[in-house]
Amino acid sequence: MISPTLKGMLRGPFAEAQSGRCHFPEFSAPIIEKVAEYLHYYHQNKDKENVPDLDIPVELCLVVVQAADYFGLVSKALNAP
Amino acid sequence: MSARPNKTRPIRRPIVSRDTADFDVCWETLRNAITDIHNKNSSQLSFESLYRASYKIVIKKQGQRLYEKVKELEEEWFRVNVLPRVAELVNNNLLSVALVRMPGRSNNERREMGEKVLRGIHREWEDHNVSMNMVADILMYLERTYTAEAKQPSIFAVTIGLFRDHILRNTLSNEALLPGQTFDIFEVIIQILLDFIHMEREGDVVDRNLMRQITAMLEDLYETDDELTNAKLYLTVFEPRFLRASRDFYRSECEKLLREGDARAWLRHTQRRLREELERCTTSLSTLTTENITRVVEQELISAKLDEFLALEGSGMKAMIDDDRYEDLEILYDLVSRVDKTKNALKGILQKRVMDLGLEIEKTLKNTDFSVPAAGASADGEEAAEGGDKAKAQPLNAAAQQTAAAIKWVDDVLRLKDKFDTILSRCFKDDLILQSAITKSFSDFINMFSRSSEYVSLFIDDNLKRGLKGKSEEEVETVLQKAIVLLRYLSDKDMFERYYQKHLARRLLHNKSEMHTEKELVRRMRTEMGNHFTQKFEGMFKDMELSKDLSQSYRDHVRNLGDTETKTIELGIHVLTSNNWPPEVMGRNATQTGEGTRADCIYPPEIKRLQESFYKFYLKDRSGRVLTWVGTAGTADIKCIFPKIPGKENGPLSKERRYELNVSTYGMVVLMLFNDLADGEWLTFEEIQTKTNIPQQDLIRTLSSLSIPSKSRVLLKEPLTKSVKTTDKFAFNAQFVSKTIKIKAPVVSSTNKVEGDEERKETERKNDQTRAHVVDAAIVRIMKQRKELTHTQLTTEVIAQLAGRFKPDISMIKKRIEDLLIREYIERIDGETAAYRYLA
Repeated sequence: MISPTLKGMLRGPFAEAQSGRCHFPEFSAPIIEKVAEYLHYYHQNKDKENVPDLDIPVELCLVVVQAADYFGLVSKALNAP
Repeated sequence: MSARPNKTRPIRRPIVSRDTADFDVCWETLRNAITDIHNKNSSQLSFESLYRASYKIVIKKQGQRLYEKVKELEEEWFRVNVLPRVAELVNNNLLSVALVRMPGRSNNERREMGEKVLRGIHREWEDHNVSMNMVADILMYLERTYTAEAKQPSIFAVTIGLFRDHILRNTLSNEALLPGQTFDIFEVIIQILLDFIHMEREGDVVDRNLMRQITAMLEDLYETDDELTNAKLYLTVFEPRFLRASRDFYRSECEKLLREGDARAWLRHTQRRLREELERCTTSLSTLTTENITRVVEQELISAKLDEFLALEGSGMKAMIDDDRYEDLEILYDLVSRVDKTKNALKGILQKRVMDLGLEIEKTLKNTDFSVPAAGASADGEEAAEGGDKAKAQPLNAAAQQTAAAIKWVDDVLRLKDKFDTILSRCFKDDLILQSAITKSFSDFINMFSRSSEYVSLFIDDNLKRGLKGKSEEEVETVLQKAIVLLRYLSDKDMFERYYQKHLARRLLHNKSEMHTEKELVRRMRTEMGNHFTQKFEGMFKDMELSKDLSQSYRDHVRNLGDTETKTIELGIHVLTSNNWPPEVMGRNATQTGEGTRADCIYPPEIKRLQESFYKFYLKDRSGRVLTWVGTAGTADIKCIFPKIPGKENGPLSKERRYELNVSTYGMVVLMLFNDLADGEWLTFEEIQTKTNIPQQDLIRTLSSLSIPSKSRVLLKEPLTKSVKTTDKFAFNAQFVSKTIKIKAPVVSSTNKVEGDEERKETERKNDQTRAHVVDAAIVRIMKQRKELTHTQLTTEVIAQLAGRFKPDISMIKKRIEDLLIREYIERIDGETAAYRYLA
């Protein structure tokens, strides 16, 4: 789990960990989808070279950056393949 | 703040007005959550909402406030909830703290109370740790953003640190038990831990797991919130205390052990303690301490009183060596090599022991030796004056004993060497330092014994002559190996060379040993000592081989000639290069004994012709060589016919008897004289001497061998005494009877034995002469190369150059230098103190 936020959420004894459901009222569905897509993309490509860039629509960019910050993916994103 | 996907307004607007309200709302949420967490009531909390709350606060630049608030909250939590619990716990069990210094209570009681306190503390710590992990999780965004930017210690570190500040370092007092004293909880914990360790050392069982938990806690706590690795409370506070307590404990334990005075117990005890401490570090304390505590034990139990323990009478190192206590020595080596890489203590004792045992060998040798030697010594003296041959006509008891003594000495030395080799490999892991120390001591005591060179050579002689027959290859191998081992220790290698040459010459000439073993041994000497050392020996082997061929071809030559005159005499000859063979064998040293030129033996005409014939044959291929006939070293086989004795009709005397006599060359010469005599005619000693011109001493010996032992009494002597005098008369013993056809007259010159005192002085004198030349050569060589040198430098260089052969005397070097000054090889340099210049 590369997102410390998600990790903390699911690791501890909190409600999310118990129910297995995470709500993110701050973000709209397309953003969460993008985040999920990124996590998947990261997981698939983490040990490979010459990986194609993840396609992020321009209109989503800013919010995706914001989400990345929220999920603690910033520094990871910078180091990502 | 709400973020909508398709709007692009700045994310972090400086909104001031609603902030405080927002903050309060969010903080309220968090505060409740943290309280819930403390009360282990967290399962209903939504991580997301809490995370979002802290996220919002931080986004709004309120991180600082949140940070402070959390800290305050935690401090309050400690004050209100945790501390009273801990204080109560400690107060209830405070007795245990006091009891640490108050004997009378049983260990059990103390342990129970201690365990209770520790358990309580550990429980609080665990709770706190879990809570703080959760708090840190929900405050993750704060951690990630604010503390990193503001260069503050992380909120986790700070809140964890609160446990240290508010619990461990909290000062308590108990007026009832310890009036007027205050102490902090930390102190209590440490006392309990140390007490536990002490109990365990005394053999009690304690809860190691609990101890490990507490020390783990101390390892997780730091002096400050910066969490520097080397500022763990465990390292800064507990470890020093632990080490100090351990040091005190082991110091007194060491003294106790020393008072008991048993080094074996000490060794095993120390080994056990080291193991225990190691184990304790992994099970109860921290592996961080392993090294330190090991060092403490090493210092206190090993180094501190090492010398005293080693010197203990009856169980110290001396006893260990003497009784072959390999196990003890092994432990000892282990322990000592822990504390001292140079192992000086071991080295010293080991060396001393080797020396003592070595000198003891010499002493016992002297004691057993002196029961008989007076006669032997005086006889030896006479013979030494004679030079040439040192064996006696009769194998004197003393001589045999001396030889036995030599062999005993070598055997003892070898046994000693074996002993220490075993110790070295079994107990000291073939340690190089100790090995060289032992080697040094061995060579020291061997060289202190002035006859070592001779004895070693005699030992080899004895083994090669008698011992090797019927022995397997391996046994031969061990003997050779032993010989080389001893040789390695000798510093006066030139002395050995001289003796070995002499002994080898005898063995070769009398065919006493197996050639290939001899060669093998010399080959080993060459690998050990270098070419120049074995040059002469190899020359001797070569001479022997050439001589064999030569004899063969001479025989062929004679057969071809069809010379009827010589065919009855077979000649086996050894042509020896005089440089390679010892002068004693070559009879060259006669001049030194004051007889003037060596008188040649007068050979009977038959022999004379044979000699001339051979000489002619020899010179055919090698013109210009001179052959000198050495009668002392040869033997002859003579076929004798003893006539039938008239008047005896029965028994062996009634018929003619043919015997083959094996005698020395001189013996042959003497017997030939009697060929021409009529029955019953007598020859006086003087007559024999004038007719043969054999030196008196040699003649005495020759005649003794022919006339005294009953097995070879072919000559009658008058008067019939046990020794030959110059006034005696001799006649042919026509009634000689022997059971065997082949008879060997006791060979006079083939036993190698210990030299007598004068003979020895003689050898030494000769050796010194040779040495003088060698030193001369070394000095000239060095000076030629260096041109100018001071006296000290020159001396050092000479010693260094000659170290492989012998240890030159300083005074000898000085004398040689003076001699070379006179002979103008070198000159003094004016104005300088003792410096020389080489003169081309």
